[in-house]
Amino acid sequence: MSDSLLEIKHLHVRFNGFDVEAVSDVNIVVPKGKRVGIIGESGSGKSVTAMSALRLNDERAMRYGKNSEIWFKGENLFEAPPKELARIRGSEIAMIFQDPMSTLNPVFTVGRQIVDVLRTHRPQSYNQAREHVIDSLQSVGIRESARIFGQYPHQLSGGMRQRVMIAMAISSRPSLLIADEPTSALDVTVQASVLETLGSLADELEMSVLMITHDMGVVARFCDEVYVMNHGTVVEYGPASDILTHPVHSYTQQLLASVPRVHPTKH
Amino acid sequence: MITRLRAIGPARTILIVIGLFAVIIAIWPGLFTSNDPHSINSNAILQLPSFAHPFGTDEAGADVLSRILYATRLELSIAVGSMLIGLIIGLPTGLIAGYSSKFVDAAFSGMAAATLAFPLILFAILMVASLGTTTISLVGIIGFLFFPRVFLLIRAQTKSLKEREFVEATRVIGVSSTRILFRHILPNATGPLLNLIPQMMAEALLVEAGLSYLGLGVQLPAATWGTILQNSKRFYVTAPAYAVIAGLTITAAAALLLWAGELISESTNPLKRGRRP
Amino acid sequence: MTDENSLLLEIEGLVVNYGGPKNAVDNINLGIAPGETLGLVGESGSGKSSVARAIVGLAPVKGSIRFEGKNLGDLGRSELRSTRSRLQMIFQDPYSTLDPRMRIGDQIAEPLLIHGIFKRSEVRERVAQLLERVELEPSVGSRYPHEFSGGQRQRIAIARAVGLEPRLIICDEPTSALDVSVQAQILKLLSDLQRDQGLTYLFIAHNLAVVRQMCHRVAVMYLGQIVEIGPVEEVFDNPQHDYTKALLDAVLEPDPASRHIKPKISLDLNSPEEIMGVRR
Repeated sequence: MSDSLLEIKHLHVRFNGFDVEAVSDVNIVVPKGKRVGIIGESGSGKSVTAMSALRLNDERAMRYGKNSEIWFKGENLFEAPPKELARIRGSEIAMIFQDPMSTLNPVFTVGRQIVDVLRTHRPQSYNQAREHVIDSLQSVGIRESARIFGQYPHQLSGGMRQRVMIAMAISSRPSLLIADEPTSALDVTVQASVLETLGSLADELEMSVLMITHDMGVVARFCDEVYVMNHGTVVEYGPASDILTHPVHSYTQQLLASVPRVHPTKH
Repeated sequence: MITRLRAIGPARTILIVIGLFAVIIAIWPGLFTSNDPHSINSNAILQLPSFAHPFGTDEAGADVLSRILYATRLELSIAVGSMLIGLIIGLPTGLIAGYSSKFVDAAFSGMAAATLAFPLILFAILMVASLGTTTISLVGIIGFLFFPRVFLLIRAQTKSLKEREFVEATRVIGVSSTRILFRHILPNATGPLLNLIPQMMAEALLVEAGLSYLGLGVQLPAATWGTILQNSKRFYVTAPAYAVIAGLTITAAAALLLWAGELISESTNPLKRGRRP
Repeated sequence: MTDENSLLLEIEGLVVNYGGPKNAVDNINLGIAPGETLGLVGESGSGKSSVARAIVGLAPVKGSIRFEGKNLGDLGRSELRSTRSRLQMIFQDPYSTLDPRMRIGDQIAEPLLIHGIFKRSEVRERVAQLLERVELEPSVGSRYPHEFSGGQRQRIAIARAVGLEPRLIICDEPTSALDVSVQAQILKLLSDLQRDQGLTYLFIAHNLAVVRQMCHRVAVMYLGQIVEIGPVEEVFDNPQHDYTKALLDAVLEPDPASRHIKPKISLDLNSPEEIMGVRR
């Protein structure tokens, strides 16, 4: 399909020493400009699936299926040479994770880290890059961007760090952003605000987002379509509004039923 | 039995076997050699290794191999004894310093720092001056070297464990501080000791060799590998094999201990997989 | 709540300061009646965890905390200890709330033994009972924490807390680290226990939906103060304070209509003045 940006086909993942596959025949399509969610609890295989899209799993400790394919812009990433993968990672497909404290380097200022990433993919002078980075810090909602540029990760709150991560991820204008539980560790208001920022950036930059989450609320607020995963397989797929209001698979129904509501509604 | 051995792994099995051998040699050296380590045979001094004397003979004509074997007992006693002293003094003080008020902590830490700062050789001379060149002096000297390390390790562990949720939970329950220290913190703090102990024992061997070299070690007829090495230094031009063998014994034993320590630390720290949803 | 003596826990003028310029808890008043569940919600820095720690004696306090009518600050050491046994706590992280080197049966037995409620020879039976009560096999007492899942470990922690037959249990985000389906089971267990044993809960959470499900009344905290307090339906359906309103807006409900909600404030982007003065 020409309007799909990423196509994961027949993904199988088996970790060495385990009898059961972590991911079993998963097929996921991320269309251009859309926000696709993968929802599941721990052990569902959702993170492994996301990491597979960028081949970030430790390939010494696991094996992919023989007919698994990851199609991105006309290339099968399983057959791409390392140089090509390195080019794609960070500039065409970017990824952000749950805990920014472990993905940010504690000994460099956050501004410097983003500049380094930017200059890797778009060679330019330090000062040029610095200008761009200060602008992108603004675009992720940080008002005092010049001051924050010079801060170290430990001086920032969780929400700020996550915004820095987002700024870093979008610095090279990737076509696809994979977000693995980016807001799970954040406070209530910060969570909503960061999702809002992500959403408006996605619209503005015409960027697709693959959002991994365990929270149906995130799906409701953020996603256009959602895949529901359980025990390594996709049990249900559809537009977010459909899945939330009329879940078909018993697992999805059970998942939705066990989520408490702030405003209990009548069904 | 075979499957259990396979599970332990070839490296560990070898080390365990060597360790057992060392203990047996220490207890019954006579099992392994028929030569008398104290014999004086002026016809056979400083001979090169041969069938009859696999490690050659020393300046008195005694078989070097049997001297080394008989010295194992003393060597092991020194290594184990000094390690025990380090533990007996360092463990309780580390626990108390890590858990108690800043004042108590400062007092104990000051003591440990002073010990670290005190020159070992000077302490050795003082010990020997008061107790003579005995095994007990050696054990005391080396134990003195060790206890600050145990103290610092246990203190650091205690300090961090003190803040852990399960310790707070026991405080909420109303468990007394003493019980928390010995029943909850101590078992969790001793993990890294498994790594430190073989290291200390290896170091004990090397330090003992150094002290004996300086003449502060035990005197004849008692012998340690260090004193054998010291005896050999006069002859290292004319009979280098003697010194080399003595030195290699010490080095090999220390290396094996360090290797054992590394294997232990690897197996007690498995890489944990993430557990987030 | 007009009769003062009927309140199980009464806090007046509570201040908690860890040594910095600002108070973590800034002069709050709270009361919990027997049998009720009071929720305490807030984001980072609100002081809600500090309130919990202050009550169980894990934080330095100023002000008065009255439990069962007695001021905890006035009690002597042994009376304090026995009073505290009726005031227990369940912690947030099931993976660090248990001693990794001690069998779980021993950990459940420990409170019973040190308070002299049971002798060593009798405690085993009681531990088995408690394990059954939290829906675990009585035989698992000989195992170690790492052999259990997060949800199971939290059940063990609950068994440990309930063994002393406390009157008040502080639940400090007991399900935040658990999967949704496991969360539902643990919350149900807590509700059942409350009903069967007449427990009173102080339920601390950042998840407003869980608070709605579990609590009768709720107090909203921001920067160490209580900004709103009342029955949970009233506070959530008809919030009065600006911060409460903004907090409720930020909640992510599994409702397709929430796609179009725009959040008004964020703890990390807005200053406290902005947050307190949010306009609709």
